[in-house]
Amino acid sequence: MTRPIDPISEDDLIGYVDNALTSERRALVDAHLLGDDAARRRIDADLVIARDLRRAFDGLVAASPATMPAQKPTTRQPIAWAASLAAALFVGGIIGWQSHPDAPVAIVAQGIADEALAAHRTFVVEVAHPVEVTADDKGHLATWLSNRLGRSFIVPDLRVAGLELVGGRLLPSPSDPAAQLMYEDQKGQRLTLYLRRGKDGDPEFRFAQSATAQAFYWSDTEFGYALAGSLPRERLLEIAHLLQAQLSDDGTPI
Amino acid sequence: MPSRDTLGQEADAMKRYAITLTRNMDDADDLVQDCMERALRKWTLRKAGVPLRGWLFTMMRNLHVDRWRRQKRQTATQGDPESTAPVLPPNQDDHVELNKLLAHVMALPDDQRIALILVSVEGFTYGETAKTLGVPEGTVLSRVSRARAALRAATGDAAPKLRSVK
Repeated sequence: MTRPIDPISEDDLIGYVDNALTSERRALVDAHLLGDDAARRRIDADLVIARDLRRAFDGLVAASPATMPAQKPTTRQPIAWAASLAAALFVGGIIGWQSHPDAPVAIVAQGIADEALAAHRTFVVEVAHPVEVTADDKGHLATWLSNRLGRSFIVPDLRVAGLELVGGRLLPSPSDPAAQLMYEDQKGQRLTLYLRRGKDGDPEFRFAQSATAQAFYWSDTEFGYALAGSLPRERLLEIAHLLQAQLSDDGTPI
Repeated sequence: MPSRDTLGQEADAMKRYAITLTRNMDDADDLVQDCMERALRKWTLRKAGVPLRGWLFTMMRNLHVDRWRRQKRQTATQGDPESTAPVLPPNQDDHVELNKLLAHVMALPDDQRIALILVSVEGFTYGETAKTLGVPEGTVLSRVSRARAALRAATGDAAPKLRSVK
């Protein structure tokens, strides 16, 4: 009987079944199996089980195939669907807006919108220190802000809208700490997302403006958000939809 | 929309994994739907080079864990689990044998069942499985090892566990 330098291990017998061994290692196990009936029977049994598992799962799926979610908004989750369309197609801003034509639009800035517009005004003009933590440290930024805000959240990715992350900073607010994330387009036009604990209202987008910038603000169950910038109002709303879709969940990274 | 087509090609794999996670055909349907909706919503966030199936499976497991926590909190009264347990219809020759195997698999501890199905049914490498589950590769191997030992014993082809042979 062959005597491999490395004794055949449990991992070898598992890897043999899954075809995960190098050819050298596989040859050693083959040689070993010639002289070990118990191991041979075990491998055979494992192979049969693996084959039958595949057949069983194929049979289950064949008997009850998975269906794609309906293309149009369904009664199941109309809001989630509007959001998914917004993210995937990036025309959802307009769709979502039109679906609430009667929603009242506040013209006066209030609460979180005031804070966001003030923070926006302060920092978008900064050349040397627009942010505390730059986009190069995106992972650190997310962790840091998550810790300080007491809620895990992802740093939204707006590249699909042509906006690169500049970075973020922590800010005082009347209640809890707030965070500001800054994005920039190719022309150097800057947008900021301001967020803090405490809801100002509902998930509907509301509009506010100052002399130099405009903002859309909204809220989820825990946090208020406000997106501020000097872009055309429709473009700002599109981006707000994109942000809401990315922030609307529980904040898990995927 | 290309993402819908691409996602459609993953539908069967998603269903298999949803059954593995939930052990219940109805819950699996819901989980697949939820995961697809979320995947469409998060499509633009997928990093280049991340394999689609692994991405979807990670997402699905997160969704499953969230739901399970929520249900536990609400102490929701589950319906009769037997009514929607994964069982093959009797149009396959050996459906009795396969159904026995399914019952044994569903009775395995979650960790072992999930690792085994990813490796044996989905053909994930140990590395891919480890990444998807967020555990070291050695942990995957030991879970698969324990799952196989349990299934061998349950299906009657038990053989003494081989530790190290000279």
